[in-house]
Amino acid sequence: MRALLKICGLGVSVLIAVGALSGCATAPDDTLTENRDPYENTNRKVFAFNTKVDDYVYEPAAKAYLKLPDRGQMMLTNFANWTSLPSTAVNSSFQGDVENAAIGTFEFLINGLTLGFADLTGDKDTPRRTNFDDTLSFYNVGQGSYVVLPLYGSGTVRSHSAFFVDSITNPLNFAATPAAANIAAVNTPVRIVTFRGNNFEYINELKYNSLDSYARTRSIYLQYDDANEIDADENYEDEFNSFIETQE
Amino acid sequence: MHRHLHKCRVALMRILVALALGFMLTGGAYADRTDEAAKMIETLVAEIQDIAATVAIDDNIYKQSDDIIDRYFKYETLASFTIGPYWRNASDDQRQRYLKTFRAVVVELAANNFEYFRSLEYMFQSSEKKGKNWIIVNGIVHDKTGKYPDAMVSWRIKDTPGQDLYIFDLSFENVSMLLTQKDENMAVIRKNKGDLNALIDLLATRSEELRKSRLRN
Repeated sequence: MRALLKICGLGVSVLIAVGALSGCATAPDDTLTENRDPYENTNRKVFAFNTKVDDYVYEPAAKAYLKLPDRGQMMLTNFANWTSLPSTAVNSSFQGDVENAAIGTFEFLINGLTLGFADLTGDKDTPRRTNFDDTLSFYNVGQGSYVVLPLYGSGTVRSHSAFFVDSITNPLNFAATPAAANIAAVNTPVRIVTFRGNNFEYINELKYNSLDSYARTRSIYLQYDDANEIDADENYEDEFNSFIETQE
Repeated sequence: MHRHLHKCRVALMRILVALALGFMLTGGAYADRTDEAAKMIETLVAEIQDIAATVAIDDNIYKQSDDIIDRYFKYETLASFTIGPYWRNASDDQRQRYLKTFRAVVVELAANNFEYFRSLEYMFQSSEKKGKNWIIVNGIVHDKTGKYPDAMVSWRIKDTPGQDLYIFDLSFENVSMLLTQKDENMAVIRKNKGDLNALIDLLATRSEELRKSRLRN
């Protein structure tokens, strides 16, 4: 719990700092490489710091995770997925998807019999995973600028704020038992390591084989994020259409 | 009265013939080529799998990769898209050098990944017309080893009446390979104060690294 709050606190502090420093951290227009990244100069520095953290912490931890037997990896992945279920249930309710909220709650309770290490329901597609960022998107709150936070990585102002809200509203944090406190404390590190491990080659490809790994990561993040937004596809559609029309 | 009726019938027949001709012409101009597009992707996947199953990783695979990409894509169109306005402002020499290094990187990337293609399976999902320019063919890529989860793949195909179809872009899980490459290239050029030569030099280095990596394996 303390570790989790520390990370969240750090994230929010940086978010505020980034906002406050926006005047001096904003890149001059001619060096901006993406309109939605007005803090690019600062973001690149944080990205470089995160890359170092990845070199010394996340990548070795992910390598260790990948050395576990398949069953061990599966258990940790299940645990990481299980701890996100309360957030799925709460946010599904906010989005009016009562069925998804009920499935999320049911799955959390059933898999809770094994502390989340086993997936007793065996259905990977349900419930639909959702979080407070999706809820804000559901209510048409804009994504805001692209921001890279220390340790946490890529996001938008909205997704980082939502991460903070998800962290403090996760019911696991309110359960007054030592077991719940321990689960909440290891939740974030386990999620980071399983994510890094389960995407090991993709992330290494980005990290080691890009012309500009910052720009490539940002592009992938924003496209992936946009895919969940209303009308996002149409923006890209315009880019393709206007290009092809100049060719004809 | 009969004469009047006859005139009406003739007029009606003319309208119907005109409508039918119009429909045929319009139908010809905007013929549904979604099946043709889906078939093209299936043929491409089959060709890739044949090569992956039979050829060792050597210089031959470079030629085969280049041949496949050349037949299904248009290098120059891809190259010009990936540097946006800098293509229009580039000199002929810069365009040729960029095209050459861009092509070398694309081919080396494909050639380096043939080993990986061996374990992949492609499953067609749908093919649909999008606007007047495109056909989108959707499918699932399944890794037979179970190491990677299934991924949604979409092929964006340029559909121009009277011309061959060609692949313009490929997206995995809604992430466009072409847009990603464009964003990265543009960032490199802008970081170097608009100098396209900086990107060309980086691409040349990258293709050489990839070539060495392919020959090492």
